[in-house]
Amino acid sequence: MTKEIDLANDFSETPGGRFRSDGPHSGEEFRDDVLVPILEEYGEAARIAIKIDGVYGFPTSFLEETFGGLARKFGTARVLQCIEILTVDNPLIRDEIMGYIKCPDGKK
Amino acid sequence: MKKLYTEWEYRRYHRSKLSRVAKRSRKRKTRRKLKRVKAQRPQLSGEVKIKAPAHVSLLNNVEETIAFFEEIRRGVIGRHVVDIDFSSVRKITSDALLYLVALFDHFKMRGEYYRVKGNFPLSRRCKILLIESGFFRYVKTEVPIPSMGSDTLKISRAVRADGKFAKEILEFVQSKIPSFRPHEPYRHIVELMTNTRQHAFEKNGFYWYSVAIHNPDEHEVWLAFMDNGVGIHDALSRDWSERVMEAIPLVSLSPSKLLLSALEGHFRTRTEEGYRGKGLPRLYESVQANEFSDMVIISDRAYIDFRSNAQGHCKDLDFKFHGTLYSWIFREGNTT
Repeated sequence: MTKEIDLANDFSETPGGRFRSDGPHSGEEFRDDVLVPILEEYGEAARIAIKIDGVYGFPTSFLEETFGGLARKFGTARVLQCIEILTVDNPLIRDEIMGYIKCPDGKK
Repeated sequence: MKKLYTEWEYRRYHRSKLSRVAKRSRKRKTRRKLKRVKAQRPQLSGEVKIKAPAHVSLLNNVEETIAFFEEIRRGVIGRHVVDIDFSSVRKITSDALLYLVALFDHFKMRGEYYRVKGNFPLSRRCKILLIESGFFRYVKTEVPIPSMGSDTLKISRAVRADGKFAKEILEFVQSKIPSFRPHEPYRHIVELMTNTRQHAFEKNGFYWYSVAIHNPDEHEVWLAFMDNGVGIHDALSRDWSERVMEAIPLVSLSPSKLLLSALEGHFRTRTEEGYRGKGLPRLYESVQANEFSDMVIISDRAYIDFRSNAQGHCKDLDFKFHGTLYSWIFREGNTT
């Protein structure tokens, strides 16, 4: 079963910085409070479809900490298997997110 | 004859009495505390008069303007009453006002007791700018301040990286330039807020500041963002050769070239983690792609100007700029 998350409506249309200490709606908050519980609950069977349209903008640190951080925690292969990015308006952002998942240590 | 109360009336009277007693006690404590604080305040020794230059602008007259602010800073640190004469100012830009507000906040954060006073510029245009920029939300004045037009998004100040502030700034830009698309600029503004939060500050929280001004004649919106932290220079890592050079007296790294290398994407984040430090290179890419125009970055002694040179004209300043300033312009033709 795929869990659908609308980033703008279920989390925030104005994502913030990297860490919780930076301010509200951080990448760390989205990853740890929204994505990680689903991955931990459903294990290998977890499937998350994240709709990213409707968001005002995508700070680099927010995306990297969310998706790169997820890959650092669970491994690239598992995250690629579990996460799907849904978008019509932001295909370049989807590519960017995939880049962070595939290179979680920042080295290409 | 002793007045008799019901139990309910007694309780209500007693509660009210206790509340009045507590309120008086709090007032006495506050008065005693204020008295102690005033007694402990350092005595200010004399007055220093500082004349502002005719052109107060970090973007267009950086050396003289920073020298002027440095005089103010020295006056405060030297425990003088600082009297600033703005009367002969012919031109003032909001980036300078931003820095002045940040300077006062910096003194407060350090616990410096200071007295700074000044007069209005004789130039009407400068006076209007002082009012419209929201400068007087951060300094006291006895002169009544009228509310003025809608071409300025007043100086904002905050500690956290909050997307709502960035959205407010960009909605202002969009209201003046309908073709403007905010997604990339939003990313940069939040990154700058995050950078200041993570790298700029040593211990206590300081602020970031922003101001935006619409120029209807040129169909453009000018935006400045700054913090009064330690500066990018101290937040960057150096490779081994640079560390050796820094250790040798009389040999120094060019601060502006160091900053430019960070913008160009040479791995510079102090955290030494490969997945960090993407914000500045991304900003540089946006400048190269003409997503916005006329970018100027000032930090510590580094001054990088993209107005005349797309690769960035570097200049090392004589005086230190305390913090980091980013300034750029949104125009109709920008490719966001």
